[in-house]
Amino acid sequence: MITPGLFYLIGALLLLLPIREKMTYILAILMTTAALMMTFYLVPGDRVQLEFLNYTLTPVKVDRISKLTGLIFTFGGLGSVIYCFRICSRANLRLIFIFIGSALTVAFSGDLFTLYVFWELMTISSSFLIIMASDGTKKTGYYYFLIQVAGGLSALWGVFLQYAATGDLALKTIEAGIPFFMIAVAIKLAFVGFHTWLPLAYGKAPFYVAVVLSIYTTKVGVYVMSRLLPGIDILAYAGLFSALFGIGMALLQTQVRRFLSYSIIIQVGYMIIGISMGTVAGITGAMFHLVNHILYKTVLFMAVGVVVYTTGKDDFENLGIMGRKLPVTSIATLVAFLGIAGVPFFNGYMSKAIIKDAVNEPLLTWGLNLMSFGTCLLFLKFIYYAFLKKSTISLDKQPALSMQVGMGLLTVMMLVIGIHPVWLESVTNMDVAIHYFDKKHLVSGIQPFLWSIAIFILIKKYVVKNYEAPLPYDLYRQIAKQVVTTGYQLSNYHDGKLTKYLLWTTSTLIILLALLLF
Amino acid sequence: MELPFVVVTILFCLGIYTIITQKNLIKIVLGFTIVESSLILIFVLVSYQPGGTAPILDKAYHLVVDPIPQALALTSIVIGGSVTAVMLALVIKIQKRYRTLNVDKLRKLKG
Amino acid sequence: MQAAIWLIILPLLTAFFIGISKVFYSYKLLFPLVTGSAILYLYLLISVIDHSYPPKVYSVGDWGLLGINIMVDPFSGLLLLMIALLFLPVIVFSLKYITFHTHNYFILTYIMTAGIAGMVLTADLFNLYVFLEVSSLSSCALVALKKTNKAIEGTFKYLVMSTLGSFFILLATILTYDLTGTLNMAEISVAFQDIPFQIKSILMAFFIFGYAIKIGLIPLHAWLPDSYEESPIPYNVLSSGLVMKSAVYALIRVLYILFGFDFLDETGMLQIGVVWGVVTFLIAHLLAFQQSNVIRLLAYSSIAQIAYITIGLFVGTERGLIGGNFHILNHAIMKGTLFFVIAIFHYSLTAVDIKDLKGLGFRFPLLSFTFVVASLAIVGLPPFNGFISKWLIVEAALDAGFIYAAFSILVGTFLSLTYYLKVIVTLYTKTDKTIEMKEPGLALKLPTIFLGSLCIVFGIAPSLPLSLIDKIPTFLLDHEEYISILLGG
Repeated sequence: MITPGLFYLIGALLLLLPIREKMTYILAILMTTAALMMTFYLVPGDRVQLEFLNYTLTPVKVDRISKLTGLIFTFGGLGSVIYCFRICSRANLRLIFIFIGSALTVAFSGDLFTLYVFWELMTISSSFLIIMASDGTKKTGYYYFLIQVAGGLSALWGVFLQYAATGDLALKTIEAGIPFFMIAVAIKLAFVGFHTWLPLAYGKAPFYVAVVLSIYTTKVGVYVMSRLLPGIDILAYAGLFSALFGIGMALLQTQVRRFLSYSIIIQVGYMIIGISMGTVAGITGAMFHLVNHILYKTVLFMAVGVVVYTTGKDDFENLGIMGRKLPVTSIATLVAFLGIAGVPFFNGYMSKAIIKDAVNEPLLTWGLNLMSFGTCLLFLKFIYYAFLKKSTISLDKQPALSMQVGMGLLTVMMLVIGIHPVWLESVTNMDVAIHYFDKKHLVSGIQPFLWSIAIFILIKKYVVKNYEAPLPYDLYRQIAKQVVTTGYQLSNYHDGKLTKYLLWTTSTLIILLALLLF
Repeated sequence: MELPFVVVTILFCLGIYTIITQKNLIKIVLGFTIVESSLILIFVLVSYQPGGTAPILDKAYHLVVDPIPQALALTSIVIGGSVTAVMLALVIKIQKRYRTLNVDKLRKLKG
Repeated sequence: MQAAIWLIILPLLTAFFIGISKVFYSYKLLFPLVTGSAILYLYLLISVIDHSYPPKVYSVGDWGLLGINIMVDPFSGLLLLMIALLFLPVIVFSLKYITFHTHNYFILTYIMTAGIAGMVLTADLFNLYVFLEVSSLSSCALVALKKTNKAIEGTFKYLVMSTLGSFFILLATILTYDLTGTLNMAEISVAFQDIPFQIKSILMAFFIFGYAIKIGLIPLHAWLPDSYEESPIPYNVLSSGLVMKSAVYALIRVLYILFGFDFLDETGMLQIGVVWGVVTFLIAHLLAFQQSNVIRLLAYSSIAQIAYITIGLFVGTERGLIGGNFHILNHAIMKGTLFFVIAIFHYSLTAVDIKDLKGLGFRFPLLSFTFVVASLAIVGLPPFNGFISKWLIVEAALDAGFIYAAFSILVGTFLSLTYYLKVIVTLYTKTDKTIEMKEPGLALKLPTIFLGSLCIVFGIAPSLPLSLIDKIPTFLLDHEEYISILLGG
C-alpha cells in the first residue's frame, strides 16, 4: 500500500518527460483521479512501516480523520489541477504536483519525522511556485519562504523536544514543547500576529497559485493541529479573537483576493474553536468544516481567478463582470456564497451546526454567532459588487473551458453535501448523531444570515465603501532590519587590515589559554 | 638547562610581537624568521646532552645526542625556508602592484 | 595495504612528471597524464577505503614502531572517501576551466592532494605537521595563481595567518616530543598519562589554536574569505572540501587520540568547543548576508558549516561524532556543487557578483536547479543530505545537554536561508539585458551534476555513507582501541 501523495510526486517526475501538451493534460487528470480513487479505497487502520536512520517511521497511517482529509485534498486537487493546467507553465504544474503530493503525504503521515519532511517540502514547493510565477512576486516569495521556514523550524524544535521527552516519534497528542508546535501551527493557520504572509502571498501571487495554496496551506495546519494540539482551551479564544480580527481587516480591503485571504482567517477560526473543544464532536465538526471550507473558498478563489483572467485585475469593481458575462462563474459564486454564509441546504451549514452544538461555553457560542454574522455581512459586499452594482467593465477574453470544468466539479460537490449532509458522514463512517434539518438548527443557522441582510441594508454605504487600506505595521520586518544592521556593523569590522586580524588571533590564543588553565 | 629555555622563549615572543605590531611587510617576514629560528633552537635544546657526541653507530659511545630532533630540525628549516621564500616573493609582487610596503594599505579585500 | 603508501606517492610522482612533461612536450602529455593518474588514484582510494575496517597499520620500510607508520581506520576512510568523490570531478572540471598557468595549477593541486592524503594516513605527529605544511603551502600558491592584485593580497594574508598557526602546531609538537620522547601517536598517548594536567592543557591550547586558524573559526577566520575571493574556483572546491576538512581531521585526531576523551571532558574543552561553534556560525551567517560577491558569501557559509561540524564533533557522544562526520562529507559535496555552478557562471560570463546572476535561472535551467538543490541542502531543508546530518547533530547536542547549541543550530538554519534565498531569487529574476556568454561544455557540467545528484541521493538514502561513518566513533571515543591496534601493528 502506498500513500496517495505518491501519485502526485510520480506525476511531477513524469512531467519532466518531453511530452506534448495534450499528453500533459491526460497525464494530469490520470494521476489526480488515480490519487482520488486510491484514497477512496483506503481502509482505516492500514499502515506502512519503514526503517530510517535509527527510527521506525510510519510514512502511511490511515484513520477516519486522515481519510476524510485525504478525500477532500485529492478532490480539491483534481478540481484545481483541471482548473489551472491550461493556464500555468509546465514547470509550475510540476511544482503544484509536488506541493499537493506533499500535502497529501502530511495528511497520511503517522510519525513526526515524515510529517516534518513533507511539511517543509510543501513550504519549498509553494515558495518556488510564488517566486517563479512572475517578476512582481520575488519579494513576496522571499517573505513567504522565510516565515514558513521559521514555522517549520519551530515545529522541528518541538519534534526534538517531544522526542527527547518521550523517545517516540509517533504522531499523537504532544506532551513536550507545546509552545513551539503552537507557533508552527499558528504560522500555518495565520493567527493574528502570524498572519502577515497570508494576504501578501495570496494577494500578489498569480490567481491559479492562490487557488492551489488556499486549498492546502492553512488546511494542513488545521489537520496537524487536530492531531497534535487538540483540546487546548486557550486556543479557542485565540481562534475567536483571530476571526474577529479577520472580519475587521477584511472590511478594509479593496483587493478581492486580499479580502478572501482575511476571510480564510475567519473560517479557520471556526476550525480552531472546534478542535480546541477536544471532544469527538468538536473535532469532527472542525474536519467537516475543513471539507466545506475547502470547497467554497476554492470556488470563490477560482471565480475571482476567472475575473482576473478575463479583466486583468481583482478590484471589487471588476467583480461586476460576473453577473452579466460569466454564467457558470456566477452560479458557482452564488452557491459558494450561500455555503459560506451557512444558509441551510448549502454545505457550510452542516459543519457550522456541528461546531455550534459541540461548543458549550456561552461566550464562544456568542462568538460563533458573531462570526457567522460578520461573514455574511462581508460576503454581501462581495455579492453587491458582483451582481447588484452597475458595472462598465468589459470582457477581455473568454475563460478557458478547463477553468469552468474545475469550478463546476467543486460546485456540484458543494450542492451534494449541502442537500444530503449525511452522505459525507457515511463516506467516512463518522457519525455525529445530529438532525441537521430540525427546527432548532434551521433557526440558528438562518438567523445570522437574515440579520446580516437587514443590517447590510441599513449601513450599506459604510460596508461597500472602498476604504484606504491601512499601511500594515510588520514587526518581523523591523526585527529583520535590526539583524541586518548588526550584520552590517560586523561586516565593517572586517576592513582588510591584517594587523587587526592578527590581534584578534593572538587575543583568542590568550583567552583559550586562560580558559583551559583556570 | 634553564637559561637557554628562557632565551628561546623570549625569542619566540619577540618574533610573535614583531609579526603583530610591525607595519612594514619585510619586518613581518623577519618576525616569522625569528619565530622559526626560535623553534629550531628548541629542537636543538631538546636533544642536547651535556658531553654527548654525534650518534654514529660504529663506535661504542655511551652518551649520544638524540638524533631525531636534529633530523626534524632539518625538515623544519626546509619548511621555514620555503615559507619565507614564498612570503618574500609575495612581498615583491605587492611592492610592484601596490607601490607600498605598509601592511595597512593592503585593503582591497574587505567586508 | 601496500596501496596506502601509494596514495601519497602517486600524486607526488604525477606532479613531478607534469613538470617534466611541460619542459619536453608542452601541452601534449598533460591531458593523458592528469586524467590517467586521477583515475588510477580513484582506484587506489577505493581499494584502501574498502579495507579501512578493521583498522590496519602499515609501517614504511618495515621499521616497526621506530619507523614511520601509516594507519587507515574508518575516520581516515571517510576523508579518503571525500578525496575520491571530489578529486576526479575537480580534475575533469579544471582541465576545461583552467586556461592560465595550467601546468602550475595541476602540479600544485597534485602536491596539495598528496599533503592531504598524508595528513589523513599518517600516525606520526611530526609527519602530520610536515604534510599539513605541504598542503597549506601549495594551497597558498594556488590562491595566488591568477596573479591579480586581490589574489596576491589574499595569498599574503592567508600565508601569514596559516604560518602563524603552523608555528604553534610545530611548537606543540616539539614540546610533546620533549615530554614523551616519541612521535608515534599511540606511544605519546600512553606516555601522556603521566604528564601533569597544566602542561597538557597548555599543549592542547597550542594545538587547538594552530588548527583552529586553519579551520577558520571566528575570530580566526579573516583570511578565509579573502583568500577565496580571487582564487581559481575549482581550487575552492578542494579548499573548502578537503583542506579545511583535513585540518578538522587533524584536530580531532590529536584531541581524541593524544589527549583522550576523558581529558577533554575534564578541561572543559568540550564546552568551549560547542560555545565557540555556536558563536562562529551565528556571526558567520550574519556576515554572509552582507556579501555582494557570491564567492565571499560561500566562504562565510563554509565557516558557518565548519562550526556545525565542530559542534557535532565536540558534543562528545557517539551520535554527535556520527552527525559531525556525516556533515563533513555532506558539506564537501554541497559546497563543491555550489562552487562548481558559480565557476561555470564565471566561465561563461565572468559573473561573481550576486547582481550579475540575474536571469541565469532561465538561461541554465539544469545548473540553476542544481544550485537550488545544493543551497537548500546546505541550509538544511529536507529531503536533502544536509538535513539528515543537521538532524543528527541537533539530536546529539540535545542528548548531551547542550540545549542552547541545538536551538541555535535551528536559528542558524533560518539565518542561512536568508542569504541563499537572496541568490536563488536573483537567479530566477528575469532581466532585459541580453546575456553574452560562452557555452559551458559537458566537461564542466558533468562533475557539477554528479555532485549535485549526490546531495539528493545521500538525503534519501543516508545509510550508504553512514555504513562507513557509523564505525568511526569506536576508534575515537575510546582511544585505547586505536592505540592497541597501532602498537600491535
